[in-house]
Amino acid sequence: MSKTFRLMMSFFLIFHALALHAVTYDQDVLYIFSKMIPRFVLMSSQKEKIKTDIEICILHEEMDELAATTLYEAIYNSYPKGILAYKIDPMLYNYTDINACKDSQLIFLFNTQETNIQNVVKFASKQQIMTLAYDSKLLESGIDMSLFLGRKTTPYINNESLANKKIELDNILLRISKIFHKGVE
Amino acid sequence: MPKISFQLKIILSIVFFTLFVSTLEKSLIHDNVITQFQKIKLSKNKLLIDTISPILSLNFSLGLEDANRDYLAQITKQNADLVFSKLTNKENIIVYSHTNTAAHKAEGEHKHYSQSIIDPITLESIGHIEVHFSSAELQELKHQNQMVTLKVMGIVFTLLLLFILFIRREFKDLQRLSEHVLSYDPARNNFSLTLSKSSDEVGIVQNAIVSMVCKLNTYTATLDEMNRSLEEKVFIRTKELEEANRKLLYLATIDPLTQIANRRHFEAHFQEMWALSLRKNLSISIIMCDIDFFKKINDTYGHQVGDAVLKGIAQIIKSSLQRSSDLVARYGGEEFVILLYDTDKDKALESCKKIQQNIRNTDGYVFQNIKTEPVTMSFGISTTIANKDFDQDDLIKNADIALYKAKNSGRDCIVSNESL
Repeated sequence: MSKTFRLMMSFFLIFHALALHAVTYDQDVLYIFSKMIPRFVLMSSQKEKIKTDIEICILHEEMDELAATTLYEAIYNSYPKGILAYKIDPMLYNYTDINACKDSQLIFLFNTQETNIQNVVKFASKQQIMTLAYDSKLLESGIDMSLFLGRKTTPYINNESLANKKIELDNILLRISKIFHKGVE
Repeated sequence: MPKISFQLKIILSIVFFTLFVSTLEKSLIHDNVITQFQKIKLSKNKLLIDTISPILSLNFSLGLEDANRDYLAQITKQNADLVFSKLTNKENIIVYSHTNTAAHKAEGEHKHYSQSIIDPITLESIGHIEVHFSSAELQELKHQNQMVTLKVMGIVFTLLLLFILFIRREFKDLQRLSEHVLSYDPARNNFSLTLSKSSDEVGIVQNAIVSMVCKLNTYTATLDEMNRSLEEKVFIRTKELEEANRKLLYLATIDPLTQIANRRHFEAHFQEMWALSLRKNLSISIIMCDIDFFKKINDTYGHQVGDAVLKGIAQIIKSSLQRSSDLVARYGGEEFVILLYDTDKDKALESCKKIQQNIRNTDGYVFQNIKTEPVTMSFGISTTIANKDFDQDDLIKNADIALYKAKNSGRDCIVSNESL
């Protein structure tokens, strides 16, 4: 591929990202998510749904494939031998293939349109799957968890949505987390 | 071994007791408090670490190192006595470190409390936390304890001093009491102590002593009275005994009829005078004399008249002797013996003639209107200078021989038998 073409593709992606009001994905944040994702499963009642592997469903738009792959690789790098006795099986899917996530314990969302988010929320609610979003704003839309990036980085928990799905978190996790309240920043 | 006074014993006992209590207080209470405080401190260290470790480990496991930094900063702010804390990750890189330099230096040699941070899920060590709390509180506690101990000892010693003064006052009463008792002289009856109005131990003892002395005085008076009575009785008995002795002596030495010395007395006196003559190398003379024809007097006038003659003769002879060392004794029925101490032959003859003359001058002897004719006596004299080679009994024997010669010479005469 020519240099010019790659340059043009980058500009197109940036434009597309800007058009969708998407954020740029911080590598460090992705690293943190990679460490968090399996542990969130094990530190919640989702642990009981694990059959053999911890199945993580990573949903992304096409433009976020790079970020998704980065996350995917980060998970593998963070847990090359799995965690405890469990292998970690992250899977990358497009938002249109959400049904493939039905056996997952956790769905990770990269930025997308509101309709996709609502579909995921509905789907996850039905399947009782924990949802985790890169963007903490998605907690407003009913996503269960994200990261609060303030003076310090802490898990951001939507207790209401978790309670609706009857998903319980370990107390210790709640202790270090910031609790999301609708309408309050 | 010198004796320690009771007062001093009490004082020493209290001093040692105080020191013992203070030492006990220090070792049991004071040291116990310090130990407990240190335990509490240790527990606090452990409690803190046990409290923060799960948070730290979760943050580490979730890759939230800045959360740990922020958390520990908050902990440090909340615990002013936390002078040192250090958090390292599993690569031993310091994630967080805090040191209150001045306070930490003041601690000197100290032991940090440390613990590994364990992953809550994998249970692997993912970091290390080290903390140290200031012991300034402990030092302050020790200082306060010392001040309390000093105050307690100060108060106790002050009380001890007051107690000593009190004890000394009480012992002064005891001393005064003992002086009264010691100065008491039963002979002078100078006991001046009276009953005490105090009901303490000294008062009780004083009252007991006064009561005892009163009883003693009563019994002493009784004893004195008994003694006087006894003395009187003894005096009377002694007098009676002396009288009895005199009578006995009299009966032992005096011839009851003639009232002159009896033979026993003569022999004792003769022994004595002989020994004296021997020591002084003096002459000693014996006169044996016998009443002439005495049997005839008895037969003629009766024994009672004969007795009167014997009495008369005895008195005449006795009154003829002038010296206390000279002795006349009734030797036999009508026989008399005369001992003349320090008397040679001539003087013995002279004394004998005097006696003879006195008898001749007596115109009979009277008994119940019966009067006898005059009586004569025959005399035998024996004289010697007392010496060891001469048997004193021979002096009497020789006098007796001389008397026999006088009897054979017609009676009423004096025969001298000079014995050597």
